[in-house]
Amino acid sequence: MSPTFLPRLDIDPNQYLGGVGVWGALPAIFDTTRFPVEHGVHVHARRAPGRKKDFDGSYGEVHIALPGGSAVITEASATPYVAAAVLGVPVREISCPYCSEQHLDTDRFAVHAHQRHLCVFCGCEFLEAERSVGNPIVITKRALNDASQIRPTTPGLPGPLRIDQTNPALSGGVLIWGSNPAILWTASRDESEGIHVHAFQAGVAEPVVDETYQLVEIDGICLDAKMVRIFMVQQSLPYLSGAVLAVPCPRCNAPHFDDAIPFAVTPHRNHRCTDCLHDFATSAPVVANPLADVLERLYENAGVAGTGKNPLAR
Amino acid sequence: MTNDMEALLTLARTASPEPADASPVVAIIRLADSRRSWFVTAVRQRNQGLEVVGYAPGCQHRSGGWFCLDPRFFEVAAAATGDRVLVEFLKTPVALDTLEDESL
Repeated sequence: MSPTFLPRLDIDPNQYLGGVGVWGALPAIFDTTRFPVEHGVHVHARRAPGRKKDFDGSYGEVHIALPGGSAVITEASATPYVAAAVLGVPVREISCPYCSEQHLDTDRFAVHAHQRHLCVFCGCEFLEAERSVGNPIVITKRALNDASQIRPTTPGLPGPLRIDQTNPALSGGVLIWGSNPAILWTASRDESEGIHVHAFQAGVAEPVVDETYQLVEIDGICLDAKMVRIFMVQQSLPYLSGAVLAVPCPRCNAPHFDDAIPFAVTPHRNHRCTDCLHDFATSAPVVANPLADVLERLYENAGVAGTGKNPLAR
Repeated sequence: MTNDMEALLTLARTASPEPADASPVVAIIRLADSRRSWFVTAVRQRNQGLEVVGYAPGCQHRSGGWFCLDPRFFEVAAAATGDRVLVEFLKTPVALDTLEDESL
């Protein structure tokens, strides 16, 4: 099914002194609703701090007025930026030295810093002095004094939020995301960090739960916020499709977790257990994230509860 | 149902206009711990019972928008998260765009 059409937004941040927040939409890691999968670029903008948001929605592309011109944030540039930001991969403004077009690294190249780039506009290869990822979003961030990829955050609600998928109040399904930093954030307050949850009663569009928690438990299984965040990024990268698996250590059975670059985004055969330090190999190159197995069990429970995995979800 | 929610339902009218940006807010329903808010512009009597109508701010994954909910929804939302429902009545109805929205 093709994604829903999203409109274009033109915005001048100087008109919204209450703050502008822009997020790239990464699909939920767990989805038992029947809603269309989230996509696009989500924008919050307020004319005055604390007031009702003047813009509070998702857009296909966002044109941002900057001193002396404008910049465009699209889903195509937002999603790779978020993936790189979550993993701490350095992102820079890179332009092709031959045709001067802005360079955008996507998929595998969005999460592996590299020196050699191939321009999609003129087809020329070029070398950069530093290993990094190219994304024109950094131009907009710099112009709006929001150059940092990492900002201070406040912890989400302590929780634990305990979800029982057989609870009739949650019969419309559950959506889970890891918190991901806004691409652009000009407000003075900090974003919440943790696990963001939506849960619905069947037939009601307003979510029963819509909050960020530090601890979330579904059917008695505790979700690890870091695993959720990394899995959300892994799931957004097409080249990792089918390569992210739960891999227990063959000696101590501890769940293995590739929690940082490069291993979190590079399928590999040789692994070292962080619990017993045993070196072991998998038959095929994989990325280990215990959440893959956890989600499978939770989807099985959802099937029993009468919801099941959203057929529109990945 | 809490006394505050029952008091809110006494505002019910059979005829109330569809909500719009200019609709004044008559009450704010909040969850005590999370501070999640619903700005109530009307309580309507309908064939099936009462409906609470108003505006709910969005989050980074969901756009804000108008809602029309069974009054029991708020108690369900509180129970699902171990929270409490608070209802603040505004002595003088206030324009939606002047109210404090504590969401991001």
